[in-house]
Amino acid sequence: MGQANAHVLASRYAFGIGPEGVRPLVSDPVPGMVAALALPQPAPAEMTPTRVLEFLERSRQNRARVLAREAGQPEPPITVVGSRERLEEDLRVRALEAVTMPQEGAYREVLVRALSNMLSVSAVRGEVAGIAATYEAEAIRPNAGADWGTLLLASASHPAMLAYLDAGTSVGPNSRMGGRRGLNENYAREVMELHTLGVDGGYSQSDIRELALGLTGWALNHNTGRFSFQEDRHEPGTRTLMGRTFAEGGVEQGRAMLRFLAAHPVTARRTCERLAVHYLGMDPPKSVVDAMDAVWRSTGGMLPQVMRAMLQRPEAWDPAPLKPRTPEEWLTAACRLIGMEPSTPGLRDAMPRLLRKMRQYPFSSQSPQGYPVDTARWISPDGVMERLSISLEVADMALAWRPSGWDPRQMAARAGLGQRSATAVAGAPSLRDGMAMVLLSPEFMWR
Amino acid sequence: MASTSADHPRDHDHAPRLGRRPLAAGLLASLVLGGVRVAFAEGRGDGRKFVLVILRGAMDGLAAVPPVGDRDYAAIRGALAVREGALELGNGFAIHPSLSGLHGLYRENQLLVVHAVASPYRQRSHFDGQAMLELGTARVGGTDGWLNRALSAMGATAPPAMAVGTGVPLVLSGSRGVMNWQAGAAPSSRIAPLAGAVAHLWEGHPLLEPALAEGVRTGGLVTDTLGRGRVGGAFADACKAAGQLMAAPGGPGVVVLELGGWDTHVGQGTDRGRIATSLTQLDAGIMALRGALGGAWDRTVACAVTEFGRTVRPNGTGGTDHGTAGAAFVAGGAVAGGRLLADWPGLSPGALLDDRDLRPTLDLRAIFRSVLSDHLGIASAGLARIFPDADGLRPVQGLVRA
Repeated sequence: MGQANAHVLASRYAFGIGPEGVRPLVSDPVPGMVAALALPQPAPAEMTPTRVLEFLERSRQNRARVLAREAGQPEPPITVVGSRERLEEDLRVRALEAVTMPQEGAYREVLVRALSNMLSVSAVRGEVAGIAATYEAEAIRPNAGADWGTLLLASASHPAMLAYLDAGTSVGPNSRMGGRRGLNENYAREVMELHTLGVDGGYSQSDIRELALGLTGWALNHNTGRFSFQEDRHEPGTRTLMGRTFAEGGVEQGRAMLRFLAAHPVTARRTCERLAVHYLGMDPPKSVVDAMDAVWRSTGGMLPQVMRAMLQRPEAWDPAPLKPRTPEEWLTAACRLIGMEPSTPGLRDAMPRLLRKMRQYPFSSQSPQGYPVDTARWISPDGVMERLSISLEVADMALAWRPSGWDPRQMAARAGLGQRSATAVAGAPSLRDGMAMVLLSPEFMWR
Repeated sequence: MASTSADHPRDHDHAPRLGRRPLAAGLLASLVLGGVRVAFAEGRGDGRKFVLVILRGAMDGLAAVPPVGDRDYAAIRGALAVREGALELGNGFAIHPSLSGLHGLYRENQLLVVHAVASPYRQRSHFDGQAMLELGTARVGGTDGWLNRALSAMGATAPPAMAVGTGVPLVLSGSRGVMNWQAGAAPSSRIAPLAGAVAHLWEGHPLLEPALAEGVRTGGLVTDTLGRGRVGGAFADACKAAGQLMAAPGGPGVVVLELGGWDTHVGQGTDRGRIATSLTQLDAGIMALRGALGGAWDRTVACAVTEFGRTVRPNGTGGTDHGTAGAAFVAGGAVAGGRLLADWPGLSPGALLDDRDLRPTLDLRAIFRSVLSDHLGIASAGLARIFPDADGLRPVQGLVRA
């Protein structure tokens, strides 16, 4: 494919150009990318249940301490790792993986992170912190090569989502447990507004309620740390959602309703748009979304095929940078360009800390919408000052690791910077400033 | 904050680090520095001290040490000529008014001012110029600096060496282990020069330019100018810490510091402005170093050097561009100072190098070699290995007091 461009491939569809630079493409990269997206993944090690039980135990231990303190008795110790520590460690590993991942693996991983943000959970809820990264690993990543319905169901039944949007504690008013606790519509509303149809998708408040009722009984088992369907919380009876009826069927009722929403044509169009926005910017060409939508309809929303439809469009290979890199994308790309390794002193601890400084600590968005897809929001006065500071820190890390052997001019060439930026880099007053200037060039700040 | 020790078995450039725990058993002395207890292993007395200050970005020697008596100076320097407040050194030279501390040292015969001096580097890239300055060779390319080779040459008598700042610079890199002390991060003093360059790069960008302008404004950063805030700021703090560390028994005998902000392409200023701000920082640093060293100052030589000088004529933006020869300072109680060391080529049209730069008449390596031999006692065989391409260099005599 003539239009495909090695720089675009690395910057837009992977985690960024590495220290060796890019080689010109000798053949069409799209079939290989799609194959990588579709490749079945080995089942991930299941960490979520352990983390859930750990969290519950720690909560119990905290409560015991409070009670002891109030009773004037010696406080029992906390013997269990906190969920925020778990998250920080998960994020160290995750950040390093992106820095060191071979490009072929990155195509899928970039998509995984986009999907993870589209079906966002957030550690602003304490119960979620220890199971946010495991959510991505266990619900999102294995299903990034499947269809949207499968992915949505995996997301909906994961303990992180059950906790985050309260589905796990929602109780049908006419269920056996009804009366003591009530219906919670939070997840139902968000799944329709954010995960499927969108706010103008043509659903009503009563549709939200019907979905919420259909999902009652979806719960987190506190003994196993896993999803389990609790019959005694489930609202009995038929549900009606956007004119369709869903017979009573226990857990299958909710699943059927979610599959219906996932397969809806409005969901198809909207999700294609969201994917195109992620890669191509806030105003993706209609021709691209049309092509993706057509494939979605004919494949039932199979993500690798939908991505192929996008990747086969020449607009997907526009060599002009299309959107600002998010802080996470930028930091990852910076460390890759420099060629940092897991053993680079300070790198492991630095990445989550620097992401927090740039207000993109993963799995910590303030709203269920996730981190902004309009990434220009990060090009704010604070945001750019933070990038200046952090590019110096990154350069410091590199120089502390290896005092010699750096040439910012070569880095600029590898990164494909234009003349003006390259000249600015070449004239920088020190190696540190030169390396920082590469990272701060408009070409590198965008992808 | 001190860099904490991590196990890097092959990272011999960086072991041992200072941390919140002692370096080794058998401690003789410790001190508390910035709230962190720092301790040294048993060391020797004698304690001849050497400090190297690398001025990154090409300091304008003609502004730092204006040749006020040169008949071509005022005309060719034009708006950038420093006259107001320049402090007399004698023999037609003066020193920039911001260097009042150094001027005092000069009068006490503790400062040697060197002019029309340069490394062998003749291009104009900061990266390569600094590399050559630190490698001590006539070619770029190499991974060990001349000061690290000097430590190797001293063998068992080599004092502990330390880089103060983030990371170990090339001049101290090599097979000999050195320490690294990181003063607490003072981001604003390093961001300001970068912000200036970035503002230039982002000029015209619809998103980046306004964001930066607003960020700088609300962040209170001063990218141009008259430095607000504590005089000297982070560099003076680093120098003070260096002095305290060196004065402690068993403390380092060789220290390298760095100061940036010298790349005055735009708005250089004269007795005030960007160059004045940078010179104020340098002056405050040297004086803080002297104060912190206390009695050890008498046994100290501190060199402040830069990769190259700047153009003689101003450019179109009120500044200067990369040049060749410039000035250097050699300060310390051990220095035979109170004089200016220069074979002055003049500033007349025929005297300039490439019709733009001050012509170098002295090689910086000769200064370094003199310090290494006369102050640190390195024999000439060792010096030949430290400066391999420097055989033909005119030696500099009498740099240190007998």
